[in-house]
Amino acid sequence: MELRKNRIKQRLRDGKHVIAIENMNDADSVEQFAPNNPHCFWFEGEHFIVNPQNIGDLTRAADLINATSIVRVPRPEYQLIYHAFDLGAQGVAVPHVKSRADAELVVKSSKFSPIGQRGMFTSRQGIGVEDYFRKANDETFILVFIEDLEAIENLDEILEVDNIDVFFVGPGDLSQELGHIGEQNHPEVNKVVQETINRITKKGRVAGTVANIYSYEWAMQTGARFFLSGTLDWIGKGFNEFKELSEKL
Amino acid sequence: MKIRRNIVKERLHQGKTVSCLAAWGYSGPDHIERLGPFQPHGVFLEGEHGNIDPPNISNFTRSCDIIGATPIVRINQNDQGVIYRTLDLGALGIAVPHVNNKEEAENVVEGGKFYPLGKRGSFTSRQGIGVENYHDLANDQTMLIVLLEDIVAVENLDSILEVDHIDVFMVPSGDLAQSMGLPGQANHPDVQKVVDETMRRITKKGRITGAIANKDNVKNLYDNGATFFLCDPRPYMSEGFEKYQEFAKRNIK
Repeated sequence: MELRKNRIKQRLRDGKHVIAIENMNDADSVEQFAPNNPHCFWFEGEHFIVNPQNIGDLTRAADLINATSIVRVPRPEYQLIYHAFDLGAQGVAVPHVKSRADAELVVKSSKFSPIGQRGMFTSRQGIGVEDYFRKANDETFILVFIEDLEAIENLDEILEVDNIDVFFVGPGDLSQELGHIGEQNHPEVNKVVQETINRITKKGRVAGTVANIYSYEWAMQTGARFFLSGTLDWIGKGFNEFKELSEKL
Repeated sequence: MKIRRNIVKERLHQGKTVSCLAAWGYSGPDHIERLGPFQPHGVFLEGEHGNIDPPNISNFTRSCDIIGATPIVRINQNDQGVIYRTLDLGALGIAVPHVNNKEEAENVVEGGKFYPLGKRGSFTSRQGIGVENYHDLANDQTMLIVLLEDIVAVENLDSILEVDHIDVFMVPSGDLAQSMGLPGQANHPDVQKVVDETMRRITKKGRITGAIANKDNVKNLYDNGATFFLCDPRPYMSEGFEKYQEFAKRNIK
């Protein structure tokens, strides 16, 4: 059996954008999204219900509709990261990476030797795949969050770490430290996000950030190519418009 | 403690429109709770065709309760035990598919209402915890919806409409089309004609009707008498995703 390709790694290599869809931590909902041919689903394990009990079901649904699955793990921790891969994630997103050592730990946890020391186990993605351990590294996707001022200070050395596919500038946590809590798109937050994205892309690396219903046009013109977007925004817009119209009848 | 009010039922009997979000393609108790800011009047939980069943009904209905939306469960058989167990677990509304004649409509009421209106099994629902006189108050807050979705039900409409205590009579076109020999052609003019006529007959008798609605068809549905609207979130999600996609394709080289 062939190892399942990582669609978003290929898209990013081809210079294309990726939209990762969140708010869909339900396998049946993921599968229903198939007609839209989504690139990628984002399963939320830092702030939401995703955990080892449901990663298999969620990522299987994404596999079946040919969308790449990313699991955000709760923290940069060795076993947590490879456990997500073992259960079927094709990518991990790791929050609060603040230093070169943190970034290196993420790579070590995600890649088998010779790149890293991911715990030896055949993932769901490796069932029946010949030579899985030699092929897996090519199809695993790594995203690290740059979302602390400390990380921005250490950005140059973090960007020296190879095998990280996306450096995601997280405006939510940055807004706290910048004194604008909850204002993800406050001009000062936008300024820091934009400058950080510039530094990432200048080094030839791929940047990502949040693209919500208020910010997507801005975000998609920052130079970032990876975007995190939620279905809840879209449902809210559609439903609010409907409700308003129906109440006027 | 006071019994939780059925917002959807209340609005419908006041002659107001109701917008219910159907948990189709967006589901899970923690996901439904996040619909709170949009203030849906009700949430339609899919147990005829989807995964809603006794082990998860209480978690799903609790998430509706906490955002003030009336939980409505579509069950998959017209069975009194299924109807009242679904109410016991926390549903405030039951939608029953394929109700085809007066007896079947009466069965829904018998299963959905306590004595003297029916013979719902005696048990205190999650909705009745700590409520004094729950058994006297429950009938007022439970809502019953029947789906008239076979052409035989349309033929039997007059006698079905004689049955009291059914709040909404819906005329879904998908199954109706099948029963008219037009499978997969819910929008066929012959089917739509029957739907429109049936909805008008329902409201003419002073009863309430409803349909799956969107921005484009809601005016027409309302003109034909419908006030209970089910909103499918899948087109909203699709529209949002496509809009971002197009913007990205235009702006990212």
